[in-house]
Amino acid sequence: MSTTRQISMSAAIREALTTLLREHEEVFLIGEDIGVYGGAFKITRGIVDEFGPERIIDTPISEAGIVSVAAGAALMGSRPIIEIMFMDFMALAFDGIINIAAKWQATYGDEFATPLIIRAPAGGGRNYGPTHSQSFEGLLLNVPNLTICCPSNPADAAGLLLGAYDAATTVIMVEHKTLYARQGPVAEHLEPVPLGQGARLRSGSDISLIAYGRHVPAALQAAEILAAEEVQADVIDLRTVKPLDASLILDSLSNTGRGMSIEESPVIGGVGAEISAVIMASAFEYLEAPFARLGAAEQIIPCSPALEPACFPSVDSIAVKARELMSY
Amino acid sequence: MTDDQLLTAYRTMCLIRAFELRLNELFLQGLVPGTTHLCIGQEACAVGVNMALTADDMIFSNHRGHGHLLGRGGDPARMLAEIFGRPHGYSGGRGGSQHMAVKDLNFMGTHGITAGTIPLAVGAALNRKIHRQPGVAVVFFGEGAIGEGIFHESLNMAAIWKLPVLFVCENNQYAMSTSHGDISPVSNAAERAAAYAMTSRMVDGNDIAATYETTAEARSVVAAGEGPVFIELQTYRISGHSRGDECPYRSREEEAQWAERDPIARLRKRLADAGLWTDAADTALETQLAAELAEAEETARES
Repeated sequence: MSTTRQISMSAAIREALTTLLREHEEVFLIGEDIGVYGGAFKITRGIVDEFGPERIIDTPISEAGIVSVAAGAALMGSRPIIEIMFMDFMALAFDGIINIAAKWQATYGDEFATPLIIRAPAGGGRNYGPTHSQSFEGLLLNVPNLTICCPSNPADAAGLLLGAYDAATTVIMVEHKTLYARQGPVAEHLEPVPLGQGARLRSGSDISLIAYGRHVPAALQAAEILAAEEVQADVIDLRTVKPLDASLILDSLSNTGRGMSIEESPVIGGVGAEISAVIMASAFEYLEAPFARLGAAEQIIPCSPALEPACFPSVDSIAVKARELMSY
Repeated sequence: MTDDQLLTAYRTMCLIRAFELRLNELFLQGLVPGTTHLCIGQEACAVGVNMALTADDMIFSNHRGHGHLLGRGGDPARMLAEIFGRPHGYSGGRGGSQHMAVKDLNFMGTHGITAGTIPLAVGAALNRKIHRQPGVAVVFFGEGAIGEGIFHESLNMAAIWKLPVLFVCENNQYAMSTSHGDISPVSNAAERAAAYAMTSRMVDGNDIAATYETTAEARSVVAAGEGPVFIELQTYRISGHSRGDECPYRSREEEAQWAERDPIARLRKRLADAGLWTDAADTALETQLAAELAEAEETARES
């Protein structure tokens, strides 16, 4: 077993990007202010010093152009890694994602692959207000041929990037901005995490807490609180929300019979809705209570520190919902 | 252009015209699924540009792309198979009229989203520049594509990074039913290039020799690493926008004026005046193309 060190998610992502740039000459980074400035969240800080501006490409403020231009380069053999400064800005690039990156290979054949890795700082919790706090994984679930990853810790954030390179398909990497500073154990030599595989972080037979991103640490904390009340939670970190790890979800629910999803995007038509459908289709007979969904409120995400927290799931709201399901 | 080049151009332009006319007949008979966008009247653009390119150049097309692909050497049988939704089609029948690509020809795709391939050409050129490979990226689009934001983002990036891209705007006067004058504050599409400090050329796109020579000159500028060039080819879509377009937005007088500038008729006259072409040769070519297309149609249906 390899030795590990404690590093932040920012450092882990930076190391994964550096590794990919060193090992594969067809990889380049492209985005706004990612060079000398190091990106809005400083993830790429210092990388341009090693690889130069030809491979660490600062662009105009042109999200649509960034994604589609990168797709054109990918079509000719490049492996671009894009940074969209805030996931909210990805709305400007949907044509490139939906009509090009998700379609070119499927339409024209395997010689026309456009594998993109699109990293996007996402989500609330920083009081950035309605257009700097959204997370679009729920919205993007509805697009065939996209893979969507939502890491919750440094090792997965780095490992999923390596896994995305290996998969050579278009991958949206949803990086929750409140996790960047979070420390965690990372192997001395980074190891790829296969796409589409969740992880069971805690075993329990009473209730399933199925989460991703920043709600994984919240679910683990809620599980501690519940354990003190003699309720044992099974905590699943999805890691990839598309494709869902259906077998892990079903394994958990068929054991607990009770559960909830905890997501960063709005619940209507979102990740929890899809998990519910998976359970309805294949684990209905195991359910002892309705499956519950926690997620962003159906409203804009307000800036005010007094208002924003109420928009998102929390340790408390997870615990409250768990008690409700246990007493159903 | 040499005499041989003019004769080659003429045959290819006639092939495109015959292909599109036959396709239109098949549509009217209800024998083709979906929709299609014919390029009748714009054959000199497709052929003149393609003849000025090399095998290393990467072509990006659009929804009105049959001529571009035939001009690059596309196989009519595989194109018809694609349009018929057959497995032998270039995209296995998944794409239809608007979605064909051929790797061996460096023909990187026709596409159904207006202006959608413009940034792809810029990205292909970026790849060429990073890896110092030969060839330039060429993208065909209509003047209607200028209304899309991605057009401007793409030209901007190509210009600031001095990428080897040839932007080829076929100004066929109408974005579906909307005339260029109604949607543009500047008279000519080529004027847009100035905002990006980009070299531009405006050409009669119904004149095969002018189109070829301008493209060849522009290509050499682009290939020399001097940055992108914008070419506006002024032309006219003789056919309607797509199936079922009766062209109520333009006058029959205007159509008649442009019919006099039909690129095929003009080239035929030029060839005949030079003693390179006869009515008999024309009849023979027509018969030959009809036979070729009939065979392609049969191959496509049976595939």
